[in-house]
Amino acid sequence: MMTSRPRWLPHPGWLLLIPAVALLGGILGVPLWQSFWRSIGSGDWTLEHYSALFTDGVTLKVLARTGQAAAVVTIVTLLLGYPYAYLMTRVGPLWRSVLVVMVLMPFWTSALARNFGWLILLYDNGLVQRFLGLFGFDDVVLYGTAQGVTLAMSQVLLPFMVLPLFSALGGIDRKLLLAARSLGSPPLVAFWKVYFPLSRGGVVAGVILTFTLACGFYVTPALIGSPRESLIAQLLGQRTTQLLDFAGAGALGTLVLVVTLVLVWWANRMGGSMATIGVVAGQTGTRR
Amino acid sequence: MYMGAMPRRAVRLAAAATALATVALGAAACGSDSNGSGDGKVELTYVSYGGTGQDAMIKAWQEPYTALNPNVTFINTSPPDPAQVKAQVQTGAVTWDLVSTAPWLASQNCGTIYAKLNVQYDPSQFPPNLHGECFIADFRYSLIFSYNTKKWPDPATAPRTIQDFFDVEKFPGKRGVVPALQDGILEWALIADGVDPEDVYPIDVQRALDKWDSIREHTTWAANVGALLQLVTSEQVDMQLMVQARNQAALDAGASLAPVWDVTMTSIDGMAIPLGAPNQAEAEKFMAFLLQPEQQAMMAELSGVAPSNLLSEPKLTENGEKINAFGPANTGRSVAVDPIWWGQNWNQISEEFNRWLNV
Repeated sequence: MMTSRPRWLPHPGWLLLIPAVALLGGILGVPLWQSFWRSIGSGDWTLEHYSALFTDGVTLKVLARTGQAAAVVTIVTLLLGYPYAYLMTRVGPLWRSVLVVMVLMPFWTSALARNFGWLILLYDNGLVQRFLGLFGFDDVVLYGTAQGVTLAMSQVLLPFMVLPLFSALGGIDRKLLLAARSLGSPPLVAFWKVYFPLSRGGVVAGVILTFTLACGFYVTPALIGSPRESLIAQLLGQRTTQLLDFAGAGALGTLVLVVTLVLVWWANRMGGSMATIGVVAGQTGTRR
Repeated sequence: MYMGAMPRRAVRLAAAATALATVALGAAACGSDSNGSGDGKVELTYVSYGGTGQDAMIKAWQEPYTALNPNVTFINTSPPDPAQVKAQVQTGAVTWDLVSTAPWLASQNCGTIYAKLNVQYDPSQFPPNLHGECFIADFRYSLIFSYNTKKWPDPATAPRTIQDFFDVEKFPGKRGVVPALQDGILEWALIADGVDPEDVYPIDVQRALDKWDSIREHTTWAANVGALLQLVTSEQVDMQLMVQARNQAALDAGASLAPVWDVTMTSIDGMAIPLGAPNQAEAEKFMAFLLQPEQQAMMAELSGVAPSNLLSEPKLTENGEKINAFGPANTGRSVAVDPIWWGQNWNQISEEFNRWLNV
């Protein structure tokens, strides 16, 4: 008794996508297009807003600083996150839960509370400075510096590195390591030649996530950093809310978006898998 | 993918329902409308900085106004983001009636983003040229040079002139400043460098920045005034340029600081009406109301800012009096920041300043 659907009509299940597409199109697609449209002169074709970015003496500097900070954060989280994720694959279910809770803890506190917490830790004569003083590092200034911001951002972003790594490392067949050992490979070589290449997907996914999120950080550098060492999001904010220069802000936003997309594309080609990111984004959400 | 008859029908049903719901929601979003009913009731949307400042505005201005005009009520929101004002005006969907606005910004965008005002007040009650074409001065504030009295306990050897702020040999220590051009930090540096206060405009930006350069390594630039207050109360800086209300807050919190009454910059805070605001006439009446001496006094008492009305006589606390640049405590001189000049020169100078700051 089923009426058969004409061949050209797509399966009605696709209609379920309409709300998501409408939402994304309405709140992301349209404004994004409008920003871009303004940045090229709203119809009076011009590239002056883009050329201004390269000649104003600030933008490129801040862009480079942002890239550098994001790179350092990515490296730090990778160095901390890899052994952590490895450990998660080697312990029993109970300890694994404990480790997951510890790494997810930052998500359960408000971003503001977390940043103010760092603020107090990083102050002159604060806990971190006094701790470093024990080892003879006397004048490490962290409040209002890029170093302090990097430190705080690394903590906030650590889960975005650990979780994709964990899902990649968890899928690696450890028998391969046994095989390598039985063929005479020393443990470190076995790790480097067999285990690490298999984890590359997770590494790249974690690197992409951490790096792109770090590029857009606003609250942490605004609270802990200094106006003297702005990151790109602060520059964007300033352009929008102080100069009311929507076209210029659109150009800056587009530039950042393009740079980020190129980096993601490149990293993806290096052997990551966007699917891993999807899994993780589903698990954690993307709050900062 | 194989699907039995029942699930398939269910999927189809769900899909159709979802599509319908989306359309219905969209229609509802477009159709909703508020404000401006016919029975004389007016809701003014009031947008300011939030926090205790806005609470004070509600107590000192809004509640008394509603008491006098029961048909007028207020919706309070924050922050008064000028980018939102611009977006509202550009899209023709203005929902804000009253917005706290930097005077230079209102003057820069007068008639394009902010409405030209017709507010009834007696000019003789205010300092000359205080109000602009597109803003009223809803209160005044000052930028005060103060220092930590623990660091310099003896007033005889403590900082006494604004030159001392820039003298790191005689007064070593960290300086705290907010890079807010509208507060007069460039003018202040020029005066410290020997420029006569009468001659600071037009500002010699290079000279002012050179002056700040001379203490660059000793200056902590705080992201905003709240952050500076934190630095002061936790003794991260030894002397600072901080607005009056926050100096009072620091004193009230028990911080040991003393003002240096040599040259103090004074500024005004602006209130403006977006172009095409739904209730401009009522908003203008409210502006006239809040400029009255009693309302101005109450605001000053509640929040630590200074009245713009000269007839206003706020009763301040001991700390408030001690740090009041507009009262007898100030034995030095005050120099007013010129918002109109800044309106004409803001974009260029703020870009130059930003470049200098981020080098």
